[in-house]
Order: sequence, then C-alpha cells, then structure tokens
Amino acid sequence: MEAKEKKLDIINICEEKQFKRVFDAFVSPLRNYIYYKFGDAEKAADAAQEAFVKLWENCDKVSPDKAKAYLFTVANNLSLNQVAHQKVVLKYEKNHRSHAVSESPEFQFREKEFEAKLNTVINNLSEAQRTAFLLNRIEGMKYSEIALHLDISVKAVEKRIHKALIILRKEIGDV
Amino acid sequence: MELNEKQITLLNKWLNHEATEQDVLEIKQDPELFAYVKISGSASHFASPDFDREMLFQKIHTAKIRNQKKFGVVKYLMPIAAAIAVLFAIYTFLPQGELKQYEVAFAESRAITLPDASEVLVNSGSTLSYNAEKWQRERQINLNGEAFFKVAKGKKFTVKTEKGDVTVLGTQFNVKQRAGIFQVSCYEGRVEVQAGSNKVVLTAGEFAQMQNGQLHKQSISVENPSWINGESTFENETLQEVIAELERQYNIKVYLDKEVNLYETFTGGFTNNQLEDALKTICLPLQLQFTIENSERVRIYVAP
Repeated sequence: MEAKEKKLDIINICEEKQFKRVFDAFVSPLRNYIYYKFGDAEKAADAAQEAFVKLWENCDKVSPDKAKAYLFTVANNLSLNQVAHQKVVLKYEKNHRSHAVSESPEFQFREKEFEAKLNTVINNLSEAQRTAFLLNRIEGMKYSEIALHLDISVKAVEKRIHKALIILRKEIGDV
Repeated sequence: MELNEKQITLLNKWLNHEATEQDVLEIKQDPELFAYVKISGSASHFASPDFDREMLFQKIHTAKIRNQKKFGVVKYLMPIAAAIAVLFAIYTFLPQGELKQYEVAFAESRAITLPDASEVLVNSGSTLSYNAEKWQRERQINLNGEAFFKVAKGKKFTVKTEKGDVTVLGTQFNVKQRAGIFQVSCYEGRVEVQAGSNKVVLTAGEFAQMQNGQLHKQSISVENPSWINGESTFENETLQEVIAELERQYNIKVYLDKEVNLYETFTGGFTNNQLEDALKTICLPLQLQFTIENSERVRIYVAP
C-alpha cells in the first residue's frame, strides 16, 4: 500500500461523513503502526480505536491537515507504558500492486522460505528499527513523514532503517 | 559490508520512492546496493494481518454516542456556498446578548458550526465572533484573520473585517485579512466584496485583492484554499508576509538578519506540517539559509 499524497479536502472533522473519511484514510496505517511495534493485533485495534475516539472528542480543535499526526501521537502516547512484545506476523501478498518504474528490479526467490526468514529476522529487530522499516516499506511512508509521526529526526529514521537493512542482509543473505 | 556515502544516498532515494530511471540503472550495476534493494523490495510485498474495519468503526461510533458533546454533533450540511474570512473568536460568553467569540491560536485551526449549520474553518492566529441571539434575523460575522466559509443557503450572510466586508447568499469562499492583506476568494456561488468605496462581485473561481487602495479581481488557480489541506501558498507575496504566515502556522518567532530583503516577492508554498521542509522551500529560491535555534526560534540569513 503506497502512501498517496491525496488531498482529503476535509473542512470539519466534527461532521459525521467527514469523520468517516478521515477514519477510512488513516485507520490502516495507524493500526498497522501499533501492530508493527508490539505484534499484538488486539492492542493495535484498541489503540487505533482510542486514538479516533480522542480525535472525535477534540474534533473542533484539530486541524484537518494535522489529523494524521494527531492520531499517531495519541496512539504513540497510549502505548508508551506497554512493554510486552508478541510476534509480528507478516504475510506475503500474492497479488502485489504494480510499482512505479523506480521500484521494479525483477528477481527470483523461493517465496515460502523467504517469507519465513523475513518474519523471523523482523521480529529480531529492535522495536525502533522494525517500526521505522515497516512504516517505510509496507505503509509506504517517506522518511519525513515517519520522522513527523514518531517525533524523531529524519536522520534518526535513516539510521534505524539502515541498521534494519544491514541486519536483514546479514541474516537473509542473497535473494 | 559497509556502504559508502554515494551508495547510501542512492539507497535512501530508492526507499523514499524518489529514485529516477537513471538511479535505478546505477543501482542495478552495483551488486552490493542491488542486494539491499532486492531485500527492501520484497519486504514491501508483505502485509500485516487483516482486521475488521467495520467493527472498529462501530466501536468508535458507540464511544462517540456515549461521550456526546453539545457542539460536537454536526447536522448534515445543506448545499453550501462561499467561504468567508476568518475571524478569531474567543470561546467565552459576554454579557452583550449572546456574543460568541472564538480565538484561534498559532499552529492551530478550528472548525465552528454556526446556528444555521453553516461551517467555518478558522486559520491560525485569527479571531471570529457573532451574535447567536440575533442570528435568525441577521447572519453577521466579525473576522480578524483568515477563515474558509461554507454558508448554508438562507438570509444574507455578512462577514465584516477591518479592511472590508463580504456579503453572500450561500457560497464557499475564503477571506484573508492580515496586516498587509485583504483578500477574498470565491469557490462557489456569488460573493460581494466591499472595501471603502470599492465594490466588487466575485463568482466561482475568482478572487479579489486589495492593492494600492484598489480591489483587483483575478482568477484562482487552486481548488480549495491550500491551507485547509496543510499547505500555505502565495502568489507574488512579500517575504515579510510569507514569514508572518510561517510564524502563525508553527507558533515560532523568526529573526531575520538585516541583509535579508523583506520586500522580495515569493510565489510558491510551504507545508504546515514540517518546519524544516517549510523553511527549505522558502529559503532555497531566495538564496537564504536558516538555523532552527530551538522549538520557538528560527534565524534566517543571506547565504554566504
């Protein structure tokens, strides 16, 4: 799923239909973010739910263009005191969406084997590395967006993703 | 194996979906780099487990109803028209009838629903007020700053600012009244703008701007005022005004070295969500540089 630069054109988050549009636009990346952090699907759904409820409670105070950042910040804060980490399970998408020309290196690999290996290594990454890496790779977020939502610098995002890649390369070897 | 700086730059470009065809060719020729790209590429084909969106929304809906706030529930919009300037309003009740005031601080924006279901989105650093009691007889708003209005069809709707008045019957329009600016943009319907002895009628797609004491009509290029979507845009505005808006959006103070020309004009936009990016977009074309000293202070100077 690529992060599209689409304009939501929301004027008032307090209005039912517009709130639903905000929900539809951001619930997936938000819930996935918490999932990538803790590997607990229930916690992720709960965190997303609470974040949207808070957004609704403050609907007249949050600017529509800052809604995504608000949701991520709230979800982040809500999960601060959680330490338990379950296994993050990722599935390989059989029908992957077509890529822009800059992302089309063709290569062969044994799917099942790679799938299993990747899942193992991703779970061995630190929470910081895994989150930054998956937000960029699966949610399609750019470094600047990840930096905004995780409240860290772009350089910090770069470092985390690189560390993740170095570990992945080491564990997985050549594909 | 450690990647060198050039390889790292290319890899970052690729990960950020910014690599050009030329970049991809270079990557393919570098086996080490290509290995990283292959791993990253396959990682992006993964997905988290699915979840029930419908059920999640239902839970949110239930919680909403439980915590229902008086002004949070908005009626369905009637066909709406023009956006009008935004005023600041402080949310307090004053003794003179039911005067509602709203004050929107810097780095904030606020959505307000008026008694007739008209909607207003107020931009940073603005105040708005209106008399709720008199609303049935006369729809009048006082604005100082910037706001976007979606006015429900009905009686005449007036927005008064220090520099001029805007009257509509039902439209979508934006009013911007700041220190050096009075600008009204009409997105739908008809808007009448009056400033001193100047009077101009705008239809959808036109905007009026005060220049040298005269109201000038021009056509709008952007569909909705960009600030609603998180971007502030300017067409031939002075650097002074651009900086003023930056200060409002981020709630910071900008200190300019005396060599910086405040009257230089700027056409373009900046994001309201990332200060560093915003500063880059402003400074680069004007050959300026910046330093973010702390969360409240930025310095801009001429590039050496």
